[in-house]
Amino acid sequence: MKNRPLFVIGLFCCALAAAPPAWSAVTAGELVAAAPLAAQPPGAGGPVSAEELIAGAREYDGRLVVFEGEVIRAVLPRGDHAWVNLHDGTAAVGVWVPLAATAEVRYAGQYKVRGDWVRVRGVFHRACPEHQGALDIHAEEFTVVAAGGPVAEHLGGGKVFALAVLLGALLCLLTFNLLNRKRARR
Amino acid sequence: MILRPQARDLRLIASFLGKIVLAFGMTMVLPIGVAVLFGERVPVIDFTVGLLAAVCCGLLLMSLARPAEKAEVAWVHGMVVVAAAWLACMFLGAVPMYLSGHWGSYLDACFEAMSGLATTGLVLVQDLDHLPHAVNFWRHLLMFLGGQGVIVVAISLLVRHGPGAFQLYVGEARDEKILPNVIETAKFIWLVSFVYFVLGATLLSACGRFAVGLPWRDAAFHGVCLFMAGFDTGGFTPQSQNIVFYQSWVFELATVVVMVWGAINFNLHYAIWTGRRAELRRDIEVRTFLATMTLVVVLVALGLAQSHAYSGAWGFVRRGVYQAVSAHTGTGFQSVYAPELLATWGPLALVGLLLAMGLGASACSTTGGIKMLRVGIIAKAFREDVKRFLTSESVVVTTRLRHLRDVFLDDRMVRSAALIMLAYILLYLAGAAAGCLFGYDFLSALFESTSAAGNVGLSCGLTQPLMPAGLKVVYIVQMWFGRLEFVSVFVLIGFLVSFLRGK
Repeated sequence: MKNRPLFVIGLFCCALAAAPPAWSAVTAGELVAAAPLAAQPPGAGGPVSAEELIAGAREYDGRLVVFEGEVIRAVLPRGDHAWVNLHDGTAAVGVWVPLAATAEVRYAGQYKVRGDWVRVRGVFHRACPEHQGALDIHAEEFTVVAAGGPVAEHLGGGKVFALAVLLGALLCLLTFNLLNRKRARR
Repeated sequence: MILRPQARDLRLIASFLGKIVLAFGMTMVLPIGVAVLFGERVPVIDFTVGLLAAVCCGLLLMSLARPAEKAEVAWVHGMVVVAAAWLACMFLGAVPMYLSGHWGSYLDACFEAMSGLATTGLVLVQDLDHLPHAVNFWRHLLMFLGGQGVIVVAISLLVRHGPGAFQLYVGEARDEKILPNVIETAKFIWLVSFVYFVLGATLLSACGRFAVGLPWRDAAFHGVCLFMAGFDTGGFTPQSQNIVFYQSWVFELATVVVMVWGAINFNLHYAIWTGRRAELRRDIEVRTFLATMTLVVVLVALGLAQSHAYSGAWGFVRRGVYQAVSAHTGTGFQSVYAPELLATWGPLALVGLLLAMGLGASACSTTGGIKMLRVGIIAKAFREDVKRFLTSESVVVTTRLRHLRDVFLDDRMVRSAALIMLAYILLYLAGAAAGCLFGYDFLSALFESTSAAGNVGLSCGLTQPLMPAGLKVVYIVQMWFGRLEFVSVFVLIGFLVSFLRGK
């Protein structure tokens, strides 16, 4: 088997990453001890922002958090659960939620559509063991707090003016080029 | 003695530049089609403005040339045209993006346009999740056009039979012709790209529908966009969460296939197409890539273990190995959030990614960075020197390497590879110094600088709309230098200097 060294290195890397070695300054045990489960997130009882969650992932890991955001693009079903990506204006975070709870969601945000605004209460994971290291929230409560809906397109007058000017310039250039060619032929 | 350029030189350059700008402008018809398909009215106006602006600029430049004038195209003309064309395409490509209102300034839109054209993937777009489909498609199309080469597009569309096609082709950092004729080479590049486009977009769309759970229309749109960004090792994605949005290992695996396929030399694609599959195993680039990839994965594994980033092997594979492949192929897809890299990955894993980004993948592909061929040549040269010390002085030591055919290593080859490698390292460090000057710490400044100059697109969170305008300009210049591999940009600078100092 020619690729055996690569295969062995691959296995070694997986084992290495999965089982932290002892030379490291902080052990896995210390990390677990440093992040006890708490009923409230560090920022009191209100919703925490996605930016805070991502930047302070180690502090929030394993804690119960309240998070609010707009449903983005679509609800992504996975058997009896679903992924819902929520964007709170700072960043988006994936929320793992029972599929039945998403029945209320009518609008998902995209161009010309404002998605439903959802409030989630659940456990935040920096590196979710169930989802291969994903940064996510496992929702315990999932409530649509404000319905989304269609958003009208807005065409500014400046764009129409620019279009007219450019069309005029194009006609002038085409005429100039045509005359230039005729002169060159003569 | 430096010669001052004459009016004839300028007219010749303007003529070619005009054709390229015109060809580039014509590609805006495609996002207009997408806007019509998705019922988006305002983007139709935005792209029509962009198209008209490009056509007007192209015609204006072409009208400067005299139709009857026959001039010989020298290397300097080709190089200047290429370097200037990339800037012109950046300015024009940014027009519809800026009009969409999703970029904070025209500079931000230019940054994104250059990032797309140079297949980098660093983004400054705001509220990406509500971006019109047409503009999102345009961002990804820019990667496809830039990856295949703006000049290849122009050669295929407009600069067909005239002289100068070869000079233009070489100026775009493509010194290897696949077929004897440049026009045939351009046609082959498009043929390969379109066949892979159909296969890759179908694969990603199917994964988007069945593994991710997107509705069919969204799955097809994402499949097309991600293929263009993945095969051209660009790294833009249609959603703000990058690859994290899809929450599916099947989808991630499909993107890995596309990334690796895009990182292969077009000459090797030709060899595979013509039945010479054994070349894949024998080629120095593929062998070097496997060796450096192994090194990068080991470094990332050690770094992740040290920082206790993930508790299971699957976490390491889905986050660590994925990022390593993305960095080494120069793509920049991220299965982790950008700030996570600094906050939880640890410095050793970042060094692994830095190494991967700096080295890049194959020459004559869409990747940036130093490239595997040069790394392979320098490694062989080292080995040859060590061998020379170990053998008797009377023995003639030679080294052979396999790159499409057997070649004997010579000093010119090593010098050329070492010079470009040195230039890239200096470019990475210059960008890092600029980052430090703007108040960022060295590691994140070096990471982002290497990502920009190596046309990778991985970010540790430094690149964002609020970063200093000066740093945005630095990164634009780095992306431009990195994509064109220095020579044509230096020739353009030399050409401008010769106006002042030439005789």
